[in-house]
Amino acid sequence: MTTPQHPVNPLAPVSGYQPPGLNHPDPNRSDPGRGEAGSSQPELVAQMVALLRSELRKTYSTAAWWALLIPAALLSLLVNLATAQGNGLAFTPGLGMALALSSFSSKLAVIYGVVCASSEFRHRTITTSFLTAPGRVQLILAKAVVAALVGAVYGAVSAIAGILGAMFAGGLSGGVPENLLAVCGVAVVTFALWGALGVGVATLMSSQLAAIVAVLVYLLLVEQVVSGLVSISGLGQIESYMPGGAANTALTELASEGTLAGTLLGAGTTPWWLALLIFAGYSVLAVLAGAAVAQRRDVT
Amino acid sequence: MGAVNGRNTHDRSAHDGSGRIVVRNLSKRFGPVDAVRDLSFTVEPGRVTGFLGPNGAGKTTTLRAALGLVIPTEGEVTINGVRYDQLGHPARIVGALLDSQGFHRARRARTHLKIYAAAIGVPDSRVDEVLTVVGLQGDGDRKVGGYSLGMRQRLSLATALLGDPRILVLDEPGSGLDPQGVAWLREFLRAFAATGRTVLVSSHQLAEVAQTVDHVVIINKGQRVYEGRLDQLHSGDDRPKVRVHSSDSTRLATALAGKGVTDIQSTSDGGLTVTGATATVVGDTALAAGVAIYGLTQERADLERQFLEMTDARYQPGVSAAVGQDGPL
Repeated sequence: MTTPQHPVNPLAPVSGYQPPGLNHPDPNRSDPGRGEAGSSQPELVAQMVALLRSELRKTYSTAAWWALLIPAALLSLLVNLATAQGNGLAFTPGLGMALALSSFSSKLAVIYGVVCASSEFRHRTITTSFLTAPGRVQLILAKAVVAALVGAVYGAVSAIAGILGAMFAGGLSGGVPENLLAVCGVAVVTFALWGALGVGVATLMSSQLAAIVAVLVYLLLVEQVVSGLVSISGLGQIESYMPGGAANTALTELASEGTLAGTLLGAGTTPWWLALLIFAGYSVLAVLAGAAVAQRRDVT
Repeated sequence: MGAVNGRNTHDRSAHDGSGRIVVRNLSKRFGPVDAVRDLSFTVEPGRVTGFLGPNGAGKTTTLRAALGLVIPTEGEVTINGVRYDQLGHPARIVGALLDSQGFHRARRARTHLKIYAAAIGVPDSRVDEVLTVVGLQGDGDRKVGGYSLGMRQRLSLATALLGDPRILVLDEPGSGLDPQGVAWLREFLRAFAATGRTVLVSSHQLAEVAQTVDHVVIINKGQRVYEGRLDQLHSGDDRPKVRVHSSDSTRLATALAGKGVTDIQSTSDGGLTVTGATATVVGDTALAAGVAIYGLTQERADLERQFLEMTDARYQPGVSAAVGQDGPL
């Protein structure tokens, strides 16, 4: 504020002065919702569309979405470059892509989901977001949907970067195999689910740093250790039933279907579509749990 | 009232549009701390209601409970007859300015407002309108991180006004504002209330809101100690006290005595302190007696003293005879 601007003369008498922006001196003006028996179906849809627009504006007004997209795309490019050079070993282009997207780029999609939700707690904008939403559950759902959209973009961009990487290495000289495109398509879905899952976890925990650390420690360490221990104990293979494992399985199974590598790796225990469904279940569960916790939490 | 009803978002009853805020037997415990205890009061439209109490009295908790941010342990707060989460389009009915309301530092003020304009469902043109109302029209494209505290307060108010609400709830809005800003806010709130709308504004300082509010609710240690008109907040001596400077103190005193007002003391600077007559009576008497008035003020020291007494740590709500539900009973 270079010069203090007072549109209202503080010394002006109150009577006869109408501040700009106060357009309804009539106390009987109809307020939204007044006298309505309940919110109609189109009304609920309109409210949801309004929240989605708001969340989209939040998304593209800060740097998080592209700042995390860059490493996601780079990782995919580099891993595909490396696996393409290793072709002739066990790696088909599809499997290389599945590895790049599931083990590397997808982590950035879930971190994006965590960041976009927890930054509201960090910057204390969650108060205004709750105050301007018809309900907290609607707000969390809108957030999850937008994070899923951004996640899908991460999946698509990472897949394209990966294809470019494989092409640089000469791995796609025989054209783009159908199997590779299928992996890319399913990756877009898993990345979307990762974004939504991140929103759920962040809403549960509400601390940005804690949520990011928890997600990474879980995915990179806890899940491996637990499924390893269970496997060693002879209790069976549970990896593809755990969140991270299910998402990975959906891509690697699809990539290795009918390939030599797939047979060698003992694939086929859990079909890719079942793993995808299991992962979708975890994602939905995380969002619902986050919404339920948000609903009861005091915002002070 | 019992334990608070779950926040059932499907249970959307229609609100009555009255502009009334009703706090009913509100209690809120944070762990071992009783932040608010069995608090009840009503805020009516068409006037500015001050919500006063020392720091830690439970003001913020009460306001946040009204806005659905804090879930009551017992009791409830209704706005237009329903809970905040049942309003459907809450921000088009209630605008709120809370002290810890945040901004993303990297966003421009205009972007911040556009985000919430979209959520509320008002057109983007509303953004420029509210920026103009709060005097930030030239600063809308600056990043909020570069804003001063006073500018952030204005931006908070602009956010609250986006939905063109009929009710404004403000928690300590004066903090961070310069004296011009405080004066501007006072006029704004009075004008807002003069259009038949509701204003509830909290403060820990009586002086800060004394010129703005008509009604006050005073709380201490989570309980109400006074609810009623500000000018009826007084100690045992409920007679008005007026300070007057005139062209002829002696003649004025005689004229007042003739009207039965005898408790008159002269002050060191040649004026009079009249107890037992309102400013109107003193002014009318002076006019009839042909005495020119140079200065006439209703004594406020009593208010301040009474406020401090009520909000003292040792004060026991309900003990003082001066505490009434609506002024003296």
